[in-house]
Amino acid sequence: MNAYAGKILRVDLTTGRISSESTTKYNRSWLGGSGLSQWILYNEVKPDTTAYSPDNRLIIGTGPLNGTLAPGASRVSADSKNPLTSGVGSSNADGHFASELKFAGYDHIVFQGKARRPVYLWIHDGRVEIKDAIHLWGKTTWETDEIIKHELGDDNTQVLCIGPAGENISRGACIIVNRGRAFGRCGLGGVMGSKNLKAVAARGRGFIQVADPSRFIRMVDELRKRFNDESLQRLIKTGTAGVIEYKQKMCGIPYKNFQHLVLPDELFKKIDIDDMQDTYRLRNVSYMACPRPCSRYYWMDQGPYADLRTEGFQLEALVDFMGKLAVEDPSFVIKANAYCNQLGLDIDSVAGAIGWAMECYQRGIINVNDTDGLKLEWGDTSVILELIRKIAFREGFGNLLAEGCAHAAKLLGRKSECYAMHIKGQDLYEVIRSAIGWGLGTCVSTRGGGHTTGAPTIETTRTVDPELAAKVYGVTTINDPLAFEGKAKLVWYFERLHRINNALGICHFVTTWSSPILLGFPEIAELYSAATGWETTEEDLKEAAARMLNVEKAFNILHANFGRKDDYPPPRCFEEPIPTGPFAGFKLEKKKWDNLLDEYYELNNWDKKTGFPHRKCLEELGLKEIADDLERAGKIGEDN
Amino acid sequence: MFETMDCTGCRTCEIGCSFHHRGVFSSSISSIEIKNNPKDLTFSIVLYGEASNGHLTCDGCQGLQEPFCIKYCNVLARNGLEAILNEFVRK
Repeated sequence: MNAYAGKILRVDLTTGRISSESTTKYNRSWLGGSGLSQWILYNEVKPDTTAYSPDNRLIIGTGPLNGTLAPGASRVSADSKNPLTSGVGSSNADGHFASELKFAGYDHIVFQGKARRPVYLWIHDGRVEIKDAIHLWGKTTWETDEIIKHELGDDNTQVLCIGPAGENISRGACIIVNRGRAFGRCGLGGVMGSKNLKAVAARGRGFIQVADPSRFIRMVDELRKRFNDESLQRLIKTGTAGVIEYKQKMCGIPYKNFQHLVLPDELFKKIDIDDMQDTYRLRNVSYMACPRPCSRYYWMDQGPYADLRTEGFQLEALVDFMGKLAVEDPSFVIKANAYCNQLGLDIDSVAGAIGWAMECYQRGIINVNDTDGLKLEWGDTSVILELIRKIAFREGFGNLLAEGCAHAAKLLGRKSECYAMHIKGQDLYEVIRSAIGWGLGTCVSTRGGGHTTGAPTIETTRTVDPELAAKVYGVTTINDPLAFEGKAKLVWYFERLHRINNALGICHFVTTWSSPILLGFPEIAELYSAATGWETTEEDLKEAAARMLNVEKAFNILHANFGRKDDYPPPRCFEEPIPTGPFAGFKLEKKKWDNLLDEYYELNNWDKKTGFPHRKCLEELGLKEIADDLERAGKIGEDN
Repeated sequence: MFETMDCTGCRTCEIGCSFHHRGVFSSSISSIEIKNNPKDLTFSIVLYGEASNGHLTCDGCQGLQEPFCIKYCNVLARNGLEAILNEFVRK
């Protein structure tokens, strides 16, 4: 089969049964990656199944461009019911796993059931074995990666695995691949742990072919030239952290659990991204088919964390630890990021829960009697490291924080809920108040926050040529983060682009998400057409993405009872004016957000009152069964 | 095997190479292979002077303006790879 490996692997961990089915059952409608996985989830996981139940599925998915020279085709998705929100769980990681899995003969792996004891899955050239993992239980992700490669005797084996956090079903546990890449959001490490599945190892000596090699390579060559543009080189030098200055001035950075949306000058001066590169960077690192090597290996050869060697931090880690938790030492960001990776914890979840706890401590809602004697002072690095460890092992106060801030606040009570910054139950990383498109994309995201399923990063990271932006994105307000106008349309665009990227296996950073000169729908459609031999237009891709979005939306409605009420920012965003910095005094107006949601629902053909899709919208996308399901549940769009 | 300070480990050269030889994408038939050394965070480049274990002999992409491994290498690593390939072809 062109572009696809051709088979979907099914593993029932309860019975040990291994089977496979043809990818053709799904790929014309659902393309691959997360799109295909979400369709399987919708059909096979019932609304009353909990995320940690053996009946839940965990699906690892590649796309048709993985394994080829298509720029940035190194992404792999993991999808499951989300233990933080009870709705859609979808996460995406870089690394070498996607191409290796396809070379081994499979596009997707669907896990169900629960193994009686810890196991890992070994896939090699079409052969599949469930292997004992008792000796790996308790090991960090780095140790697990090393031991598995050693025992399988092949360094080219690619491993994705969980650490102690996933084993202990810490709600914010993630899955790690290539030691430093994470399926970070949505707590999928805990789902893996609940199945007693420690790791998946893949090694393949097969190949991927495309339908029209000369057409495909012509497009690849043309696209790769675009990456020489001067405006794209900063990312290579500094990674995403290089936009910290723009964020500070133009969109805001959460500080002390979002109490402020700007870093204090004194703290901001301590962050010299270029100096950090000179001091700690060992080399840049990237993954299959990447023309834009933006990650880095760091070697700490001095200071309190000397001798740490790790794949490095991106902007998110900087904001989580220096922003949300007010740490003053930039080198701690590298340490904390690595420590979370080793234990298998999502940094956003960790910083969300600890940030909430520190604000509660600041306000006297909790004290040392609640925290195992720890003084939760802002920026205390040894306390933060100890809390990270406790969260991973669900030890003492860490057992509460392991629930994530939303669940933890409910359990604690004491009016701590208003300091739990989350969307749909998942800890928040993004600022909402000072970047409206970014905020909207985050709030309506089906997976519960996050900025990679609809939020326009370009609004918050750089100024772009307005004419070009208008042509590509169809809006004229992209350089004005505080404008409401055009932002619903912008989110509409990126919700579709992100779904196509996640379905085909390409990185957002090679697309118009990052720059209007990079790959948009027309270029991606050409790559997909040449690769598969199925002529596909820009409009076809947008329709496929809408189909995926509506499946996710229906999953959220049926499983988590989400609707319009869940697409709002945390209440304090409407109640507290921004206290300091360039946006001081600005407060989000409820009425304006209402209008923004109306416009966004209208663009999607969803009911403005409830946020539910209309039957007509679903039927036009070929989703009649979903319309029937929603109607039976009494949750289908009514007006219109 | 060549040590290099520039390689970013993306292994795009491997599938560029297989595409040159056979018109398909595969890491296991390529004449070039990137080895990751996770402990010291380095990469080594293996060039196959003769076919071995499925890997095809490197022909230096003779006749082509630019060898495929270099063509699909990234901006940081390209010069280093070019030097290694030149040295290899000379030998």
